[in-house]
Amino acid sequence: MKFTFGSKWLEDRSGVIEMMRSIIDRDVNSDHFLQNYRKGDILFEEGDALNHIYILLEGIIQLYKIKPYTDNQFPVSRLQPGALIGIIAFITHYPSLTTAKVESDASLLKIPRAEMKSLFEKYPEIQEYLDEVILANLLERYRQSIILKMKLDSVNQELKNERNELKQLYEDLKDAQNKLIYQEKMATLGQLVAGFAHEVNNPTAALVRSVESLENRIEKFIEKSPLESQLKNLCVSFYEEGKKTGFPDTKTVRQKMKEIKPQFPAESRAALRTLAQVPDSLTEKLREYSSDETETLTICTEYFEIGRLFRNITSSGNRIANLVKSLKSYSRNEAETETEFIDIREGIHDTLQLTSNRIKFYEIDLNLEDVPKTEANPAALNQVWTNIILNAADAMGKSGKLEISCQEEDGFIRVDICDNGPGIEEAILDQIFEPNVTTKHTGSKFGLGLGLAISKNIIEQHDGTITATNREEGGVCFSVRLLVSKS
Amino acid sequence: MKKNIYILVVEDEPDVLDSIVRDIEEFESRFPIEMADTAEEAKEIIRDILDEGDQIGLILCDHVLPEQNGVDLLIEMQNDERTRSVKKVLITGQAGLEETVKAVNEADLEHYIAKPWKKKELVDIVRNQLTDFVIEQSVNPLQYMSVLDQERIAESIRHGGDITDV
Repeated sequence: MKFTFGSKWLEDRSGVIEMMRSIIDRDVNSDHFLQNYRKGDILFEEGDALNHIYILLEGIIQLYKIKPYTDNQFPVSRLQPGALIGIIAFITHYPSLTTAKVESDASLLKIPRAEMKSLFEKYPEIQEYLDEVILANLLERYRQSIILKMKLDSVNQELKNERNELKQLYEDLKDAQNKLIYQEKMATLGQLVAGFAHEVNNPTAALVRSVESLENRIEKFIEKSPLESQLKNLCVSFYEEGKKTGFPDTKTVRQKMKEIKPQFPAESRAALRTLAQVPDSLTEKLREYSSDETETLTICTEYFEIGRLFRNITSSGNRIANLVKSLKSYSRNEAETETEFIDIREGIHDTLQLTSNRIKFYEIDLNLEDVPKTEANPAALNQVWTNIILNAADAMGKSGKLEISCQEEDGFIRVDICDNGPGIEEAILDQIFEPNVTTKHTGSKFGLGLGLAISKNIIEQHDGTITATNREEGGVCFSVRLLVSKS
Repeated sequence: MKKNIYILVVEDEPDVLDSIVRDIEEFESRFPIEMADTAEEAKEIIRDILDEGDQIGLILCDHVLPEQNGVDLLIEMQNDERTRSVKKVLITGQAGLEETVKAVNEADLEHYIAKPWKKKELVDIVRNQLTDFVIEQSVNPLQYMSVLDQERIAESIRHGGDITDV
């Protein structure tokens, strides 16, 4: 179809206005179509049925639509002279989609439905104009709807991106918060441990020193004792043996007690129990010497016990001292970012010492090859070893095997910590280093799912990687690779 | 024939086990002591003692043990009618509240001793528990009197108690 008014008529509607005016001027009967409105007048409201069509000759009309769920009027479009108003409602007989409000004083042709036909017959150019306007209007609306759809799509996309960004930001924030809490905890622990170590070291040192001098005095005392020399020698042997002898396991003691009972039928169970822990050679010497068995035996076992008590006190004292040393080097009081030039194997030993309570019943296969020293944060690395080892302990339960090895591998130090527990479900194996992922949901083994996320973070700060794989023979292997840095 | 009443000590650290036994040695003249370093071994010993026709009067048990832990061992003993009457004492450095509550509720735990213990505390508890056992189990208390709470034993004899096999 051809546009009589030219394709640009939508931009320049003066031709249309002129045509309308000339018709009104020529035809006195059409005067009543011409209506003048003041600013603020309403032509029709949204939802009205329209029985007129409006052609704007002068002034501006603004169309509004009520926003859903509110009373707000939302401006839809601003109509210039030459515009045809209310056309959709007029043609479709549906209620009007918009409210038309006069924005600046306007004159319009308001043509009632009933008079359209006669008008068209009289002035076919109006019919033509209307047809063209309707078609052009529909084309324009179609074009607008396509533009709108595309706009909507890009807005949606933007919204989606923004939402994802926000989500990521929220996750990051949560992460950062968790890490802060954790660092704070570690710092507090460090301070606590430093104070505790100091306080424990003093009495421990006093204990170890006192027992040593007590030992010297007792030995002099034995030397000067009025026992006859052969018995005295025997007692000294028992005492010396006591200092060397550890504790055999309960089963061995029980069997030995049964075994020697016939040889010492008169002895009490307590005496037999002690005697059961004395080496056979000494027992033999005792039997060779003894004329009055019970009395000699009592004296000799007393000496044996004295020796063993010394041994017990000394080894317990050393145990405390070592524990404190490990605890101190494990959680240093320095800021968490401080690095030192270290042998990472020391940290692994400290960690094993401090987690011994949880892993003492496991078979532990330790294979730590010589590795170069590297610059690292020892306390942070210890945290990583602890997380992995305690996770393994949780996974294995009461018994299991823990294999820990390290080696140098093309410029990296590689540490493998493997357990023979049930392994990790393949489905979540990829996620275990993400925060808030945990396999420990039941009972006392409740986890926050932070340990491995923090470990990964620590290893990345050391320019390293950490990975987890299920082993074919069962269990999980954690591999840590740390870049060897030269200071 | 005189039946022996045993004291059973279960602890996996040998030096700690030795210290406990040393501290309660004074009871051994009347109540022989047996030691075990795992729950499994403890159960073997219990079986042997019962098979001999003897009794177990008291068990002192650590909580953290290899394989089966102390609380579970005590619960198992509680559920076995032959060992239900045994006086059960937990002696531990670290049983959490949850575990301890479980022991009290399910194993009828008589006493909880925290490490490190004091000798007097340990001895008093052992004496008390054994006295209870002897009175409750209606065994002839006179032969044990020298190491037990003599006043309570005398009291129970005066009131006739349930002592039947005097």
